[in-house]
Amino acid sequence: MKFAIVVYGAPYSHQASRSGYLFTRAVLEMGHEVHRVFFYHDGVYNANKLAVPPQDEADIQADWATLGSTHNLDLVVCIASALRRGMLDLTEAARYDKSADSIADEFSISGLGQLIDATLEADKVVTFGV
Amino acid sequence: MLHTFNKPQAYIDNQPYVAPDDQILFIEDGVYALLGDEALNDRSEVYALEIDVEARGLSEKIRCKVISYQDFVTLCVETDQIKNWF
Amino acid sequence: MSQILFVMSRSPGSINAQEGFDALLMGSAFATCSVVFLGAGLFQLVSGQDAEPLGGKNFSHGFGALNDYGVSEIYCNKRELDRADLAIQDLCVPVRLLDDDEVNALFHDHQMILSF
Repeated sequence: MKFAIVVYGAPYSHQASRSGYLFTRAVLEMGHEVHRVFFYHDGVYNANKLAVPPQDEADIQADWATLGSTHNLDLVVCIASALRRGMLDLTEAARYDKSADSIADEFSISGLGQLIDATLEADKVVTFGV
Repeated sequence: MLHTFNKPQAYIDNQPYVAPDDQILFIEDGVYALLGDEALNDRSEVYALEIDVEARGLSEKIRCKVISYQDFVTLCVETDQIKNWF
Repeated sequence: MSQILFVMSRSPGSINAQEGFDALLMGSAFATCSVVFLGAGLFQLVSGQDAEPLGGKNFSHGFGALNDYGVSEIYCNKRELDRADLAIQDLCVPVRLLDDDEVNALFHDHQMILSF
């Protein structure tokens, strides 16, 4: 089966991100397909490559990035949610003349249409909200 | 269909929208909703994520079926609709 | 029956409510969509809101255009409306009132449910 997973929670602020990660991993372990993981609302912060968590704490962003690259997942951050929260890739940082880009390479920035596409293409949609 | 609840208030507020034969899964802080609710613990098709129950030290307090994330995936595969409450 | 059911449960002051509305508009461009306002989501429908002095966006002023986007099925729950001491006339768009069982039936009727 094809799953779309939607994550609304920022790392550390809420368990939603960790739950979404564990669920995504379980989907893959069970041999199902992850069509897309869509990060919306504060979930866009999971793509933040500038975060420096304490060394003795779990690094949720790194966990998502590793899962994404290991399994070639489509980790998508919604552009509208991202911009208003200061989550910019290189293109957007240049477009808005900002001093830094903040989105990790394993994530891509795209429009809300990707959420709707995922909803229509997947067999199951599971949302981890706050 | 499957309803998931991630906090007790989400269950309290939306329990009227759960049909008697729908499945319920408590995740994250939602497992606290099972404390002191005998009927809920005994209702068939009520589940709690084991990792969340154990993280909160509630293994001895909860009687419903505790399941893994892989079981959670299976519940999703086997159901027709999924409503995530938060 | 529509392809996607949107469930809005957040008060209008929440950015999640506003972004949920954006998702509903996007959804309506690709699929037939219905929307049900439950819990605090009901308050998104109250007429006469003005959040701009608070720095908010009056996105609910856009609800009147939902029909133009093909979203003609707008629901809320009668019990919640009564509990909030609101009436249909207090709401900014025509809605269909559902009882608790009918809300559950709405879920059962949709393959895809997106929640905000």
